Amino acid sequence: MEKTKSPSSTTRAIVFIIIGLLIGSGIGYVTAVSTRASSSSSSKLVTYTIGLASDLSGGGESFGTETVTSAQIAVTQINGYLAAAGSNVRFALSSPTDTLTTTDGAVSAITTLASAGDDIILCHCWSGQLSAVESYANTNKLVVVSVSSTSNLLAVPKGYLFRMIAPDSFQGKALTTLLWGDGIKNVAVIYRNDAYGQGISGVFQTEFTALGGKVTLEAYDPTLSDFASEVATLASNVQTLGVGKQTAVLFIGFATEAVNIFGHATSYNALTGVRWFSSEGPKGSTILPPTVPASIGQFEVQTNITGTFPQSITNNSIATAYIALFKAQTGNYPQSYGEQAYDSVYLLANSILAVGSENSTAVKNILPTMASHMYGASGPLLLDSNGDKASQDYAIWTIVNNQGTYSFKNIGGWAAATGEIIYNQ
Amino acid sequence: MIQIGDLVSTLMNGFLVGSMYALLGVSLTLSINGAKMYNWAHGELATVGAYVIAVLTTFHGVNPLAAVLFAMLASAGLALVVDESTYKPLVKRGANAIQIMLASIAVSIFVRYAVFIYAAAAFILTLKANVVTSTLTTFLGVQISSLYLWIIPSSLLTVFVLRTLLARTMVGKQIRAMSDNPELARVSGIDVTMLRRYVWLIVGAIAGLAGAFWAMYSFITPEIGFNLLVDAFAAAIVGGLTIDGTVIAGFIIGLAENIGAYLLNQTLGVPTQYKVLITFSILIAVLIIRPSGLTSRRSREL
Repeated sequence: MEKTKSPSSTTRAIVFIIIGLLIGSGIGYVTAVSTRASSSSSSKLVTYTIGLASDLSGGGESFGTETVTSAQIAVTQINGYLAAAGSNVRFALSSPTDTLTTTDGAVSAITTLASAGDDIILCHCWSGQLSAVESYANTNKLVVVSVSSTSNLLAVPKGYLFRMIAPDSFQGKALTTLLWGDGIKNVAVIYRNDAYGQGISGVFQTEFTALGGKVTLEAYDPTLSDFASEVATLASNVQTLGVGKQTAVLFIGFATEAVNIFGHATSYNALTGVRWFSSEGPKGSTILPPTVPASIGQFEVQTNITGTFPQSITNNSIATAYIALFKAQTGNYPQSYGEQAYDSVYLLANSILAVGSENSTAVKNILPTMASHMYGASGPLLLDSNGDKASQDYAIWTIVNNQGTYSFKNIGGWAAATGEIIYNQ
Repeated sequence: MIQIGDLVSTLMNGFLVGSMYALLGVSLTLSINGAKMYNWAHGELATVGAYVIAVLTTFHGVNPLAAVLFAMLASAGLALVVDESTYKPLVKRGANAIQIMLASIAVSIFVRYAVFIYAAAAFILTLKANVVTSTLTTFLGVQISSLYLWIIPSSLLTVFVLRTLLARTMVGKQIRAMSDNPELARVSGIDVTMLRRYVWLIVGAIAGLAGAFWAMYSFITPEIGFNLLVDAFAAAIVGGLTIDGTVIAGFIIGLAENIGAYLLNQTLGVPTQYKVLITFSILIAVLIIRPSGLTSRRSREL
């Protein structure tokens, strides 16, 4: 009798344990869900966190810092509106994770944020960095919105990845219009050999030669320490094209390389004797004296270096308010990608509010629809079928020397709608 | 199309860069022979020297010559501290060459990121020493800077002083003896512990000088030393781990990288971005044809 009774009581005990575990799991799950939805049970506030990855060191540092500041301005504003409306929802940004202006750094930053539970991420990612994180983000269903990736190579559907900036085809066209409009017929292009440089230089070459212009291309390896031989080659390319008012150099790279290349270029009469143009890459205080020697500042002014950078050029009250807040907070005007970061936070916040959760798949699905109904500091946020901003204006910058103080100056803009350059009065 | 002025400019740059490769390579050769280790943190000694001169001249108005001395002192001090705190204890515990090399990689990363953190906080991730140079002459549209007259002779003079020190002084002879056979040197009564300190001080000072020259020539980043290390190793290996050989190899690599890249681009259209391949082509060719290097190391010779 005891032999038959013992197994049945053991079975009963196991059944009780299983039932107990199931009940425990159920309670645990409910508790976890309610805890996540309400981070502060006393005030019943629901806080949604947007992960923030940005270049806080390396060549993209100045842009990355601007991205962080702009995102913080947007979150503060949004929370103010929500509080005024009596909402119990609030938004927060994760502590900014440095992407180091490298592809490895971007992957590491996104992985770190995902590990911390941030499935919706705002990233100051260049194209090379966004390419590097694409597979990981899609596999792990992470919504990543880049404010600075512009390569045409990424103008394809990217799943959970979006770009709050139009592809390089726009900047390539803007630069073409700018140079051609200034009477330039021959251009020696020097570009960093990555998705960013290849993208803009490729579009520029196609557009500029279609107008009848002549283009030479020279790629450089941005990981090198010095670009002396590259600059010598550039000087020869310029001489082959013919030094004069119809010849120019177009630089497509970042500030770290720019100062080295400009520094060597000061030694070549062929390079100081032509105009220089640039993409938005080097635009930042690190290419201006006193951070760089005065000789480089003189070179920049002497060659009348002129460039483009993504910024709304229409009179836009949202942009005006954002710029005022940015200037009040930092003492400076935003340089590049700040508007995009500011708009991206609004877009993500609206998408999360629409979904009512941080469910990344739901946010990914609703985000294009939300964007199509939004207008931000950078203009209409409408996305194309690739998840990229469908249109982008470009402001035009140059460098001026005001009694020894070098600074950037906006002199006009290229309107995407018309394809024309409009200079400031 | 080849422009003579641009070609001459690349030639001058080749000599200039080659002289700095030579300096860094010579100090690396000395550490390989004298301390019997492949120090992957060698580049960081140059980085520290580069930042010291750049910061002192740019933000504190220190005379460039004094700043160079400070750069050499800082790098020499760092070299000594790293050896005393890391390498020497490992040697005492019987670590093998690979373990010490791995430790040097760790030191390299540590120092590089320490500089990174400092430079990022001070907003000087990209910096150049504030040294006033003048244009000596303009040759076919290319300005020849006075920097060439400073750096190339100074580098050669440094190597000459080092050779004299090793050949003519008691300490130098003891270093050569230790380099040839450390155990024999020790039983002969040479204080190899103190001698090792001298070696690291000299190694650090020369590497710091190379870094300081680079900061005068071009812009630096916290990765500058690590990037230059490849060329320094190439110079040391191609040169057969002798001082004379390393100097010759340093100039060969500097010239080949600059002139080679320019000529290949202008004649065959090879992109200049592949100039690093030239360095490694030379390295591989020398290792295949003459594995001992351009000048092989004979007994009791550095």
